[in-house]
Amino acid sequence: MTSSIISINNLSKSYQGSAVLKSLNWQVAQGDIVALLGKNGAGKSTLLESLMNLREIDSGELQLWGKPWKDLPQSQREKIGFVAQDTVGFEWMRVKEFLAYLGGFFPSWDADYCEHLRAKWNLEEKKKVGDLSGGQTQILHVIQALSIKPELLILDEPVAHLDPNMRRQFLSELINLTCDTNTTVIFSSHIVSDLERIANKVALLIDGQIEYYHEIDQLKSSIAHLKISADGPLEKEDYFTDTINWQPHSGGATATIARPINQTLEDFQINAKHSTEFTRLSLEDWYLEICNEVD
Amino acid sequence: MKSIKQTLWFMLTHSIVSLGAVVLLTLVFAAIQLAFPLSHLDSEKAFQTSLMFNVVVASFLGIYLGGALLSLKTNYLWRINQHYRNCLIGAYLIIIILFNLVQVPLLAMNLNASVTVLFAPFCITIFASQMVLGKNAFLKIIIPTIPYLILQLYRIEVDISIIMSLIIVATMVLLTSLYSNRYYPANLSRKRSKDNLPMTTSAIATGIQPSLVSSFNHYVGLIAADSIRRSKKNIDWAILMPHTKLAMGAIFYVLLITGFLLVVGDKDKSMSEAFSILFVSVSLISIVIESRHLLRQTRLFAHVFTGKDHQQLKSKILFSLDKTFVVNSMVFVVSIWLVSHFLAMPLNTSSLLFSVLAIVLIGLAVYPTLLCISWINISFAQVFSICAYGGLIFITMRWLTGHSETVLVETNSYLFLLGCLIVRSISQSIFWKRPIENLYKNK
Repeated sequence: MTSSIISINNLSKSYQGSAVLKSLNWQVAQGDIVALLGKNGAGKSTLLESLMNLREIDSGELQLWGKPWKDLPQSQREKIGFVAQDTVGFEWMRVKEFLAYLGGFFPSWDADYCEHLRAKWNLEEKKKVGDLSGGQTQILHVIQALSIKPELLILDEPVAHLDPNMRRQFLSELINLTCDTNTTVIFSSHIVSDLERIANKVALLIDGQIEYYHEIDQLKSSIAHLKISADGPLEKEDYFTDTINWQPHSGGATATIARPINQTLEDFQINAKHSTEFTRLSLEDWYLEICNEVD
Repeated sequence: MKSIKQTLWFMLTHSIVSLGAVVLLTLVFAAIQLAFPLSHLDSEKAFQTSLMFNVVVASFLGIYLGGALLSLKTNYLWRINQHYRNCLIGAYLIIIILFNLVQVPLLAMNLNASVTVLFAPFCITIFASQMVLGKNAFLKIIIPTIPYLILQLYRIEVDISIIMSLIIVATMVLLTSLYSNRYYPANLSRKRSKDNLPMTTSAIATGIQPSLVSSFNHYVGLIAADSIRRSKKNIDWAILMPHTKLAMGAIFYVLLITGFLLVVGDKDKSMSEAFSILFVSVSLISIVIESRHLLRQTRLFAHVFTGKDHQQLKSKILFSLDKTFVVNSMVFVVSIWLVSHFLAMPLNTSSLLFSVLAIVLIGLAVYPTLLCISWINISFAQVFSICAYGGLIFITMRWLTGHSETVLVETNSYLFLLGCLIVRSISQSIFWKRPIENLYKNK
């Protein structure tokens, strides 16, 4: 059984009286690649920066490798890579200096790997950081984080400004890294199609809590839009309660299965109390359905 | 009408603390002017003092409104929407007129010259706005001085009415230019929204564009490139700009003073000591403000420093800044001494040294508190801290003026040192207790 690299219990965080994270509980196992989803303002950055001890939590417990931050040894801290959402700073440095300077803070820095990524992703080493485009700056920070050869990699919207080709390359590099080194990755993104390509788990932050946290394969085999036929309007309690967006109508109801069920959809269809048609959902459709319910 | 009212409200309230300072200054000066009749002050003196007060208040108002107008001008509507432009300029002028209508009776009370002088505060306000609105350093400095340059015609006995008329015409030309100039600082808007470039005090104090400051630091960084690349866990490069770390700010100030000394006559050279003290005081504050903007760069590696509440990282930050203060001040003092030596200028070296040392000690004592306080939205605490810093320096300099020869044996010197240590320990503990996320906020 893989151990938890991240363990969060009842984590709460507020800003000016407004709660962003509310008694959040979450465990992330070593080696997992977790995609963190949530609407704008849901608290993804707050959660990720709290993991990095860059935000003061109001209450709760947060542990990495079974230890709270204050007890985490130096050697463990140096194995965490982080890419913030706003990649600003060091505008006057050149790319080469930026990478070399930041590499100095991490003993496990792999300069050859760093150079390989820089050349692969066409970042001129003599260019000023301030003259890079938004996407190039993001790539620079990703290179910096990957070159640490981290055991834990936390990425806050790492692909927001990347073109599709660069995104694909970044994801493929991430896959290589995780296969080679069993790195645990947590990244937030709005581009759901990318998540399916790389993540094995998805966490959905709603109303300050991780409401959904499932293996992607398991989830995709279950999530579906249902069309249920009945003699009259049908209520959820008369059918299957673990659905969302339940909409009764004169001929039955429509709903969405948003969590893994203990059977295949075909078996579910056969065993259902009423005649049911299902349409499988993509991860993006699933996310949109949940957002609809929340609204 | 609603748009004008909303614009008026925003312009007036875009920085409450600054507005409070302007209002306070106005009230103080108004009270003094109202007391003139009771003080039996000579009418000529009363008029000159009243004019000076009004000009000072008008200048501060101009800078304040310039800041408000600049932030509104960063919106693209300034360029394409006539109504938006009319609202902004209209609100700007309404505030200036109303404010000066309140001020003018005080000036009129003591008027001892042509009635056209009553327009002086109005004109000064508009010219002073250019210290903020000017597109580049040259315009920020030159345009506000135009009224003063025109005023020099007084020396060749041009009638004051004619001088004031010229100033009024110049003001109208400036206003027309302000209105019709479609230039809007889009880059400023983009860079502010991306928070791309910290507005270091080098940029603020000199009016040089932040992009130029960044370019300059880039070239300095090229010189120091090897050192940067070899740095292991040296946070100096993250919390300071290269020019500050390498004491180039101190050299810059020395060059300014040297330029001043070359221009002025011998009797004004004694002011160089006062300017030196002023520059050192300001440079220490500028280092703090610069670091304040740059602190968030440490997010990328903050986690590798141990200790509860990032104590190790905070200690390193304080150590870096302590080093920079001391190095910059020493470079400054040595450079000034060399300049005075080569210009054969009489300089009380011990007085200067003790003055700078006192400023450094006060700065070291106070700056950790200044690191904690947000700057872009100026807070009362920030204003108080800066006033306390300035007040302490003023009091110390006054004391040193009479005791520079005996400072080493005075009990007060040691009490001063003890006081600085106590203040430092208090401000340092405030800094240590501050959560790291508050230190990273730029606002």
